[in-house]
Amino acid sequence: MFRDKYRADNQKIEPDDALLKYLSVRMSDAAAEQQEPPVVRTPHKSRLFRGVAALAACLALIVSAGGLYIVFDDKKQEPDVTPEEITKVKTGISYTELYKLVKSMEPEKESGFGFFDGAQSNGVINEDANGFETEGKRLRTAPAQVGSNADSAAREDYSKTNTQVGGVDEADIIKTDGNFIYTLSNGRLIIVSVDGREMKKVSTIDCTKYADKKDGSRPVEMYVNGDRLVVIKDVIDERKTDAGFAPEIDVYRDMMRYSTHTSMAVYDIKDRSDPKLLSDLGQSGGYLSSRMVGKTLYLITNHYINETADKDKPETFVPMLYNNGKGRVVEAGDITVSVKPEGRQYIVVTAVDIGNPTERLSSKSVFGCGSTIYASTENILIASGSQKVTTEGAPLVTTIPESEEKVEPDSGAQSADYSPAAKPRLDSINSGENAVLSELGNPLEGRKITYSSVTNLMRFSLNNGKIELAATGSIPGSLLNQFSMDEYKGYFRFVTTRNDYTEYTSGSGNQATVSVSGGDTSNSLYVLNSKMEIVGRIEDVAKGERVYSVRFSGDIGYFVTFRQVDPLFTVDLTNPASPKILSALKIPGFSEYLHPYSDGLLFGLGKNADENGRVNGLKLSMFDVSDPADVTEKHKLMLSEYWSEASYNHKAIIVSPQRELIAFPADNKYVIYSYDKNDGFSKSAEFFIGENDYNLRGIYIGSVFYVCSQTSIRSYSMDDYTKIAMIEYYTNLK
Amino acid sequence: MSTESLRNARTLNDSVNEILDRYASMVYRLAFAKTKNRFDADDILQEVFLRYIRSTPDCRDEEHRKAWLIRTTINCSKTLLTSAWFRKTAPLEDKLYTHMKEHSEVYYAVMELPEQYRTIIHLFYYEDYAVADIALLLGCKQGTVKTRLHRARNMLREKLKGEAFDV
Repeated sequence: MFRDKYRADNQKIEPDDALLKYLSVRMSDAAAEQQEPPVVRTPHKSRLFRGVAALAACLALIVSAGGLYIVFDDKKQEPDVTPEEITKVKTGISYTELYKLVKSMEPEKESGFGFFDGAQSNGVINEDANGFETEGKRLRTAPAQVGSNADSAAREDYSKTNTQVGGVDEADIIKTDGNFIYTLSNGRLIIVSVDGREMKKVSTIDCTKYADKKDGSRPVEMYVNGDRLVVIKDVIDERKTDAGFAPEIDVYRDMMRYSTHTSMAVYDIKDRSDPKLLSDLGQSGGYLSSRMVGKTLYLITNHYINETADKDKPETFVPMLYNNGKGRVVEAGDITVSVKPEGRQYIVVTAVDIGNPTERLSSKSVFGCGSTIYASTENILIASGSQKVTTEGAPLVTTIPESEEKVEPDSGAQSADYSPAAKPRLDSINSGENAVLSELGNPLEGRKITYSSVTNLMRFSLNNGKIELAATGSIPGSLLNQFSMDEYKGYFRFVTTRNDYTEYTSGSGNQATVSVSGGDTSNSLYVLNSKMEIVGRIEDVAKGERVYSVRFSGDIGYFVTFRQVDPLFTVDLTNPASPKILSALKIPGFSEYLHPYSDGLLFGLGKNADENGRVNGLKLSMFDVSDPADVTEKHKLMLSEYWSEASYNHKAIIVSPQRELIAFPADNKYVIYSYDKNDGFSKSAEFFIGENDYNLRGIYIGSVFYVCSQTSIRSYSMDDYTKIAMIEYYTNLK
Repeated sequence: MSTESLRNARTLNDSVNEILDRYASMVYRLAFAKTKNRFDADDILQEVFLRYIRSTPDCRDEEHRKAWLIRTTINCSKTLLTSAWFRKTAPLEDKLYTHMKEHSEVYYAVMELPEQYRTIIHLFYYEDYAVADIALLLGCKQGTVKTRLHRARNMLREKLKGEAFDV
């Protein structure tokens, strides 16, 4: 009856037809890409799995209850260096010690954790530079076709990638320098001149070429800075990881097929019509993020070891650095073991001067993992989510798996092959369980396990390219995204959401029950000093809700939590040791992106919600924050559109107080709104974009607005938004 | 190449649509059981099948292919849940309403279980996998699966007092 009901209910759950059709097209495309022409896979449209891949990998050991047992099993091997022993930063570790450490963390049979490290970081959409090139240089060095630039003065005014921190550029798929638009599309980088009202394709770079391999890489994001262009690429390693990896389970081996490293190809684009590759510097691991400060590029990857460590081959347990495809092992002196490692992973952080990109300024590897990156001009913070498990009452008995296996009625079924073994019938399982619990006499009686979320932090100081791991620390709760972190006047601020729950075992024998309580969320703000020690805090804010957006602006921090109505909290951080909540504005819905506008205004893009907390469409808000103690929602506008990439990717939106313009993709459109301090928001234009056009970005240069997609650029006059021209790179790209 | 393997090779080279017809619901239902909301299940569905196409796993047989898809769904959900764990914290009704208009107490009860228990219940009761297979799919010991199954059943019995008592 239970089974029947559960099945019947499941039958009612079906994927959406339209989604299936869309997926079918994408799969056919992807299948076509696998054959012949080396084409990049279509960048991701959904919000899925950005840099969190690494996080998942490092949580894998901890999150599943099975993982708990794995940890204990490892102890039995008594390696010289156990993860538990290393609770502080340790540098100068030798390859031998690293080998032992990595070895101690290798799973016995379970595997598949490294799965995400591989061809996973596709679709990472990052953002663009704040234009560090000096205008004089750009104009001087640009090729002849720019010379005819009639209104260069007007065209100095162009939009840049929306970044979190001034002076710290972020990579994106589309960039402009006011004279050219650079687009990553279909495995290629396309440079289009946007001289006056005409658009012309100037050159194309095939970004799938890596070293001597024709289809060796896939472009992810790029930077344009003066006469340098940097393409960040996933490199596909087809090396199979056969060795020692759960060989009896093919399922796992398939998943391990690819491992990647990430490279940055630096081009000289002095002559836009003939870009020259200067160097291609790679490093182990999947792409996490990157930043550019001045002419220094910082690349951060997460390297998961998905093969069995071999004592005599450091490359099996130490990250590699590649120069134009040739690899070498990271020197032991550049490796640090941090905090308490939770998986066989390294964070690799590298600095390169793009003016002189033949060698790295520095590269540091830290044994540990990361998922969310914040960077100022001085520091990079790498955060990773984890879970703290604490046990009270009866000890966490490590013998459970063993003793259960003793009475395993079908223990022989763990055969070498993955095949549906003889299925034990329900009753035999029941009796097996009862036998287990009776035999143990319920050693779990009264056991209480608390799971709490924590965020581990690493601070790297940049020192103009000489990266050093400066401090590590940890705060309760989980971060939402990079905007949850901030640096200001030597202090670091974080907003987290805690989600703790407790498992309690009671009764004995077959009456034993496990009750789970908690799951209540609450939100906190922490101020840390440069040693990553907590110096100020606000805790237990908005219980039962979680954070939807965060933005720090100097001495003030804003964050939005949501369950049914949207409290926008305004926090005074003037005194780092005692942050204070100044106000909490409650309005329906919530903002998912906050952007300091001007003159005491804060813009929010989010969702509207009805009184039951049910979401019903996008919403624009302008908050009056001129009096932090009395924040009001000055203007708002509900949109009929439901979805926008800008909700989770800040690089997809333009917020320009100078132009009084807010532009972003929404549903299958690109929309432009104007904002007037008295009259509020009004729609200036909306452009319907073809079904196959995705990854939309808007750019304005002078008085022309460009809507860039993966297949084309359309230009519109900003006077009345009439179409001027269109250039299409691919007509048949689906 | 034997006739049999020829036939296998052909079946396994099924068109995209056939594969979707056969497995989309399976993947979607598992993803939904894990994430409890449509949007995440949509994302996972896409990710799983795109990975399938990109990595073209060497599936010996249908059972193997099914296992690959389930394993990948679990992995993808794990990624999402750890990144978007917060979604789990919204009230149940919010996430379920899109699909749950006419669902029985049973489904609600399962959805109220912690995530790791939901997965096992789903694989056991819906996909009909044996404990040994579930252990392989989840990469954990059979004993662990049994313990969790046992706990999950106890919790369900508690929740479903009087109804569907045969859990």
